[in-house]
Amino acid sequence: MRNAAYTSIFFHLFIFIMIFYNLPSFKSNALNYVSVEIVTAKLEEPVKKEIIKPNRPEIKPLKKKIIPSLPVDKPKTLAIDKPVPLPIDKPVIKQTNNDVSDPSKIVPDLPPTKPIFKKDVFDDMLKNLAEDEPDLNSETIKELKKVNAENVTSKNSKASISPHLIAMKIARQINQNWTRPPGLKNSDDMAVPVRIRLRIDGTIINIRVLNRSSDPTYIVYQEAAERALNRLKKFDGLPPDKYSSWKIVELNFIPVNP
Amino acid sequence: MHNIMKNIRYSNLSFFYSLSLFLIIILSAFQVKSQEDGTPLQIDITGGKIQPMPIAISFFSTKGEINENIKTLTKEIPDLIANNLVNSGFFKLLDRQAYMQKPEALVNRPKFRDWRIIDAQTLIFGIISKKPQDKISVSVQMWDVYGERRMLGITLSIKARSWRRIAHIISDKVYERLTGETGYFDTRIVYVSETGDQKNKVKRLAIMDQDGANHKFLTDGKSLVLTPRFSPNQQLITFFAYRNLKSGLKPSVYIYELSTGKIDILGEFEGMSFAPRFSPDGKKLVMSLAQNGSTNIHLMDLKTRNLKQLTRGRSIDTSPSFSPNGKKIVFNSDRSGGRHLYIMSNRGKDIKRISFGRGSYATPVWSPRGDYIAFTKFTRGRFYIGLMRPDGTAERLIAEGYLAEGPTWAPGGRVLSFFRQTPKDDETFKTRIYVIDITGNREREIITPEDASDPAWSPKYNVRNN
Repeated sequence: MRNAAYTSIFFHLFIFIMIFYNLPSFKSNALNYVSVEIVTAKLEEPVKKEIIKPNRPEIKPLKKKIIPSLPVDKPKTLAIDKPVPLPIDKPVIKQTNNDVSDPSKIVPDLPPTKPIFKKDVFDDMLKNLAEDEPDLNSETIKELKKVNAENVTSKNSKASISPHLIAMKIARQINQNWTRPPGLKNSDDMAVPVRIRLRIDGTIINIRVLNRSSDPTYIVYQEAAERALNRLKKFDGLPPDKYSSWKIVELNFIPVNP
Repeated sequence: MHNIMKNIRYSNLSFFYSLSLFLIIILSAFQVKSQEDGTPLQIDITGGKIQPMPIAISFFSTKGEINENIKTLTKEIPDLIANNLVNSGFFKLLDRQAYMQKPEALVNRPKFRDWRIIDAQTLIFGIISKKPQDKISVSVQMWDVYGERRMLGITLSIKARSWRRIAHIISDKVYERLTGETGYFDTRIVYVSETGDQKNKVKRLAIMDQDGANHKFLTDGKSLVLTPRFSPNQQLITFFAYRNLKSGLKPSVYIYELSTGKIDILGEFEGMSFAPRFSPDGKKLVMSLAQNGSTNIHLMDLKTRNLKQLTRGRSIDTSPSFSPNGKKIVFNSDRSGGRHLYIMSNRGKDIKRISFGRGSYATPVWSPRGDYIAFTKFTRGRFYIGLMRPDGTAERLIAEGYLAEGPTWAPGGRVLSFFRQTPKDDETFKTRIYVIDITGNREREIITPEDASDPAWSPKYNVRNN
């Protein structure tokens, strides 16, 4: 009898503990570490393709993909090298240098100003003309540089990134992708809570809407929130060393109509 | 023997103890791990962009036996759907030249990557096939491009010549699925068609689809018709008219039955009845009655024809309109001097003024969504169509003109129609019906054969009597 009672108590205890601490965290932990290497391998290729395309949607992936690749010792990626000979770039480069907290890393890589220009840059220019469409205007490059600088600073000042800054980065990237039609019914209870799980490279691997409703207007807002995340796919610039703080994020999409 | 049993029992027990201890240790290790993770980062997202949703509406493909007519419909139906949706202000149609997948290739399952490249958020396509007795069948699918899932699938069949109706019904379904609001494309507008010069105007009642197609005159023009209004069951139209009866010219409120064309006078009153409007349940009619120099609002039970007076006094109270739940009535009155808007209960109690701006306010109409009251405003020599919240706040003007009047809401309360008179070079006037959404954007004219005024938008799901 006693034996049976103990067994029963034990199994109940076991089940309660399992319910409380939730097994699946085994799985997700295992998943999270797989990807790091693969990402850097992929990075170099798409850069070339996407620079050529002038459309707005194409520019975004460009940003995303370049960021991780730049800090890897060689800032001399295709994206930066090509535009350098163009005279427009000079001031831009200087600007970024000012921004960067540790300029020694970048300055030597980006000085091909006048001297090089005279010698063999002509060939480069021709190449550029052939390879790039004239659309690689200063704005795109500026944007690139900005992202660059941001990334370098973030790398350098890892320790100082506060949870608040991470939250701001996440919010900014979602806001860029979150669209909803004008003049939708206004209501206070249309906020959509969503829990997302992220990989260490920033990729969204799971989207879970925490509150569901059959209200057709709520469904519209819910789908807009899901679409924003599906469209974004991956966050940029989140510090890997703080991964544990942003592995799971709870978002609350609050549609505020102006 | 007994001893052995005891031993086994004890050893079993100690086994369980150790096992449970072991498990507790393991689980506490997890506990540490989960505490390390802490509570998830919580972020409120309040920005985002408010912009029309980019949608792709592919030309339709065909299945089975086809003819020339069906071939043209593969373009005309998606074009009409696109036209409806874009005019609502909610959507932006993506240029078909940028579509990488051909209509025929879409039938199995769309290649979502191709559609993401052009940033289509939603993709719509369909298949038309021929049915016996001049009928066609149209199947339409709508896909969420980023979520890669089907949002809508419908099949409809109809006589080939009524293809516009199918396109309107599909537009409604798509609109309702994507906005969560009531569609208004499969609806009609009844209005007053005007011909002749200023002195000898012939005013006839006419009806058309909300986009101006399928135009038809309802009355012959012998009587002067004004302020038509639809009943909630779309079968009846009430209007005010000066009719030539044997007893002489009689100004009164009439009811027109759409399916039979029968016209019925609504009671014989002392004085003149005008500005009629149905209650949301369609059982009552609220209107103004001018008697002995004062004009008051009255409620009539349509079954018993009993009349109940709602407002009293010497002032002019007119243009009553029910709230969608039927509990309140908005009207305009000159009781405080200028013409302003007031709200009262459906029994004529709790009268409260809601408009306080400069100028005079008239023809208030409560939105079917309940969130706005549309009105006409006259100030500084110009007419405006405006909106305000039922408590009188957030007043804004969305359209203006030399003469702009008579707002009427489309089902769903996001779009409204009104008429505007513009002076022409030869000192005559052009009067036309316009449609505008509540954001004040996308105003467009509805093409009518003659001058057109006093539009009234039908409720949804009208019954056609072709």
